[in-house]
Amino acid sequence: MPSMLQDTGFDARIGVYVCHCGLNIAGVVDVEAVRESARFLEGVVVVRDNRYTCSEVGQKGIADDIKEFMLNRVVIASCSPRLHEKTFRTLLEKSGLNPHLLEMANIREHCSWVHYDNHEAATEKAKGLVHSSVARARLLQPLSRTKGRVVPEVMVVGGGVAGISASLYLGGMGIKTYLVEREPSIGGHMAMLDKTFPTLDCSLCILSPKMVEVAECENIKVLSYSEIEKVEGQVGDFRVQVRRKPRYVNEEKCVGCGDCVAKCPVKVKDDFNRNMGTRKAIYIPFPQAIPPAYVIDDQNCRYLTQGKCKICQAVCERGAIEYDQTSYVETIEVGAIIVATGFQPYDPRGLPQYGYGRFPNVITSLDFERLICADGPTYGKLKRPGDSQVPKRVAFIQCVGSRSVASGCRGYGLDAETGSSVGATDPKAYCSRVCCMITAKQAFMVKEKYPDAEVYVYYIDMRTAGKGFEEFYQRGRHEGIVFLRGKPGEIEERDDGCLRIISEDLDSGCILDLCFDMVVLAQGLTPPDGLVEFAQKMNLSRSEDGFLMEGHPKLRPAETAIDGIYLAGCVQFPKDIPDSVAQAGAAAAAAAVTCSKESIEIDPLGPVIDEALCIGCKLCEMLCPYGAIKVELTDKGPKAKSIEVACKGCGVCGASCSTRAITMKHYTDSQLTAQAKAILEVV
Amino acid sequence: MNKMTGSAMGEDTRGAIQEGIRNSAARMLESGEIDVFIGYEDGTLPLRTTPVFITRPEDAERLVWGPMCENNLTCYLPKFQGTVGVVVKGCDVRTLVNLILENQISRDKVKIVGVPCTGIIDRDRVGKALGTDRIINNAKVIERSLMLEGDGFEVEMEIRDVLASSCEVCRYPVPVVYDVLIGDESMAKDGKDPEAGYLEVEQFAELQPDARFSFFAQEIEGCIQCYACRQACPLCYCLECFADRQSPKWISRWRGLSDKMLFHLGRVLHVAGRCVDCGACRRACPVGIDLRLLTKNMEKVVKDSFEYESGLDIGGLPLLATYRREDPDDFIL
Ligand SMILES: Cc1cc2nc3c(=O)[nH]c(=O)nc-3n(C[C@H](O)[C@H](O)[C@H](O)COP(=O)(O)OP(=O)(O)OC[C@H]3O[C@@H](n4cnc5c(N)ncnc54)[C@H](O)[C@@H]3O)c2cc1C
Ligand code: SF4
Ligand code: SF4
Ligand code: SF4
Ligand code: SF4
Repeated sequence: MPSMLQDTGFDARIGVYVCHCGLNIAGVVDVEAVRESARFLEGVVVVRDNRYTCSEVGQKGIADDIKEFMLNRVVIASCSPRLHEKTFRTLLEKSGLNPHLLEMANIREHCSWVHYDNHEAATEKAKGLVHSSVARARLLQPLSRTKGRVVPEVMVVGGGVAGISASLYLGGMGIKTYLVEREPSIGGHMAMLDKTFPTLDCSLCILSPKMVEVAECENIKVLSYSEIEKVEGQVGDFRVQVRRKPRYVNEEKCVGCGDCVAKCPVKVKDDFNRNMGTRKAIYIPFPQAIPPAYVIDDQNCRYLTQGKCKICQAVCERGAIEYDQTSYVETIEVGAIIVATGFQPYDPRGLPQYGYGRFPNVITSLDFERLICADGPTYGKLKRPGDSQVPKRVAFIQCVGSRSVASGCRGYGLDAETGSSVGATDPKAYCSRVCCMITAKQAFMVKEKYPDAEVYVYYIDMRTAGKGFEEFYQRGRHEGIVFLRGKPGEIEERDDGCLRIISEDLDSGCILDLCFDMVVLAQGLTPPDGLVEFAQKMNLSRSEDGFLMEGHPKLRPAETAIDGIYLAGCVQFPKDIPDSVAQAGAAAAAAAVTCSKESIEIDPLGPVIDEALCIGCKLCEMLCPYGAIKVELTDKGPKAKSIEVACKGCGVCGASCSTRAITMKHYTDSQLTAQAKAILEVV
Repeated sequence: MNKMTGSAMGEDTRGAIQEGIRNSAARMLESGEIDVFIGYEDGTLPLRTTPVFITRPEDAERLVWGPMCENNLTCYLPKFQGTVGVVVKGCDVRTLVNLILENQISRDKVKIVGVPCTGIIDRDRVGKALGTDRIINNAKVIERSLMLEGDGFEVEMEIRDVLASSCEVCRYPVPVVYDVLIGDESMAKDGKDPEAGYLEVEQFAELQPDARFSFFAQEIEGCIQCYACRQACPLCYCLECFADRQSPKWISRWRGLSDKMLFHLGRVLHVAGRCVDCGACRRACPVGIDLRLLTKNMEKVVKDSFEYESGLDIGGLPLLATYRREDPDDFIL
């Protein structure tokens, strides 16, 4: 029960606690001096310093003081509130105070750490921050938290191996899960691979049982050929609008017999086979696809583009063809979201010196996977695209599009001009982490299939950290694969179609001039197509490399800064399959924790609107990024109304209101001015 | 009469427009399309008109039109519940557009009677040209001139020489939105130099800060804090103006220069990205402070920084509700 005293803030009784943080703070800031400078500030009844305020002892001291001195406000000068605000709020609550009567001054990150070389100035700044916190604390108001509901269901976006694994974990826990995939089938990049390092199991042989499990699990609903349109709400209670694209084939009726395919007159390049083979306008991406239903490619279907044909409808005995399907939006309510939208392979056309796209026999590692795969366009025979001959000399070039700042793009993934995602063709600064092993695997596979072939690998460093990885790489060396340190500057195509590479071998210092029948570019992994817009919809931040930012680089690798949204797989950063699966497990566990709660406490931040001042100009409504404030017609004219559950407390409305009709809870003008004034008085 | 091209129009054209306004008002009131029509009628002093609110068709006869119709009538619109007809000049309609964008009135509740504008006169200029001690008893608009009669004098003045400063540099004399347009668009275009619009503020900006400050102080010193500028501005519709707030009391009426300055700086910031340079505030000021120097500069800043001219796009968004990544932010401290 908050007392009257707390409510009015009249007779503030403030306790000030200055933390040493071991030597983290005390090594620079004169903690005693800061403590003493606060002793006689208005409203302060007790000041103390602690070695570790967050420790048991430190916390108990504060709890005792709250009782003994009847404190009604607490100021803690220590580390960032991001670290311990929760700890101390809980402490206040346990001691019978409203948790919002706490104010923290960050004298570690803001003083001792940044001003380590100037103890005096750091101390003065710490005093200023403490005084300003006391000034604000005097005006703090108790706030009551509201409880939000929890929908015990999860949405997983992206049906690669990460999304599939997360869904299976969740489904196994009995949690209803929606798996949203942009393409007609789940599977992601793993479905395109032939074998996987370091054990060389067949990729689809290990993936497709999992895909079938997804299809059979009664708790998992696969929404394929669908994309996220809009996300509203907060942890526990998201409303996601999913756009379902038309397949033109009824998923329930289609049994995958393939009669339609045989008769369809339109042949187009097969994107699943990296445009190296062909498929029909009605197709299934690969035989093991889930859902196992066909789909009509409406860009190429003769009926859908020219209004004539309907052959597939005529041959389909089950009447599964539905040309009149249209796209529609389905709204799904979930308590948590896992983002697993994977990666996009780097497009080497951004490095014209390697001739990808111009020289037919220069291919990428993903092209290689399709060429060597028994289900691929050449039925597993490594035929080079130029003339369908089996190459006798194959070179691999590492770090194509990775570890490069050459073109000036440091891998931000953002176009400075337009803010849109940079094309997949801009080289990135980071190491893509998997391509060394991919090449080790592929070079090995060439040797395995064609023992007489000569295989060369041009590299900067071979990075093979992982269980069994180094051993696998050494095995390749023993098989006779030649590893050359030194990245070639250029590939030349000779008249006979052979590819000439001149490079410096950094180990011997020699200049090498070699010719190959085929060159494989070990393309890096870049953020998936459309991630910028996707992140905006979800309000997620991206790191400098363009991938989604995790909650904490060490301690919250599967979380995001937004409660209730989690990450799995390559969308966070390039990684291999085992790491993707492991992260999927972590994300699933985190989502399950959210879903297991009965309700979620919502921080009571947000706008309070003074109707007498509001002129209903809608500026706040137009600016609120969450649609959480709306102008409604009342008998006093149009007035803004806050929609509490949707509000994230960002404060945009408060800052934008031209008539100052909006006060932000916990960040009122008077609190902030008092804080600013107090700092100015110290300096 | 030939097509009008001068900076003022002749008696016939003016008469025809006046007739057109009266007819439209009467017609709209009769058909019940509108509940009230806002226009101008002759004032009690020469060179003056006054806003009039007509509710009966037969009263439409009181409506007048001419270079003395200086008020921006759109400032009354948010106060009415029903459907309103209103006469607007090129600048007035831009504030009207802003009122719609800012949710103060709805488009279907206003019938816009637009007139391509040839400019209105500035009485201070007339006074200066005439000599301040001479009292005008009677004024008439004849062709492109004013005929002024007083005790013992009769003076003819070219209207183009006594135009309001905002009119001299007006860029949009023809209303950008209207339901009825009365008059010929072509006549509004001549005799003005929109390019020179920012000359004055540019020259002023070149002065040393000290000189600018002392000029500003000197101008503002005379402000009697009547807030007529605020009342005249259609875009100052706050229920409680910051200048009237008691808690916190931003501005006092007795402390002097700094409060007056704060008021004017506050006012101009509150119309940033909204002000259309209609000049209503300037003309309302009883002590003749050159408020346009402030508002015009703000308009220039907005135009230069955001390529935004307020009140032109009824389907657009208010400037403050838009954000582009390339928006300059170097003015943010
Ligand atoms: C050539 C090559 C060979 C490789 N070989 C190996 C190997 O041998 N061993 C190994 O461990 N790893 C290997 N990898 C790495 C492996 O492919 C990845 O670790 C793994 O695929 C990552 O899975 P993921 O689910 O995170 O991403 P993805 O496989 O990219 O799956 C992401 C899924 O999300 C979907 N999606 C994307 N955006 C959206 C959206 N907005 N809405 C809905 N759905 C969306 C995509 O369609 C896709 O289905 C290889 C990679 C490459 C490029
Ligand atoms: S994993 Fe290897 S090839 Fe890929 S970027 Fe890193 S070092 Fe280069
Ligand atoms: S604080 Fe205001 S702008 Fe921000 S989310 Fe809440 S209502 Fe919207
Ligand atoms: S001066 Fe500003 S705050 Fe006051 S009424 Fe005008 S716009 Fe509103
Ligand atoms: S500030 Fe003055 S010029 Fe600008 S719109 Fe208002 S009255 Fe017109």
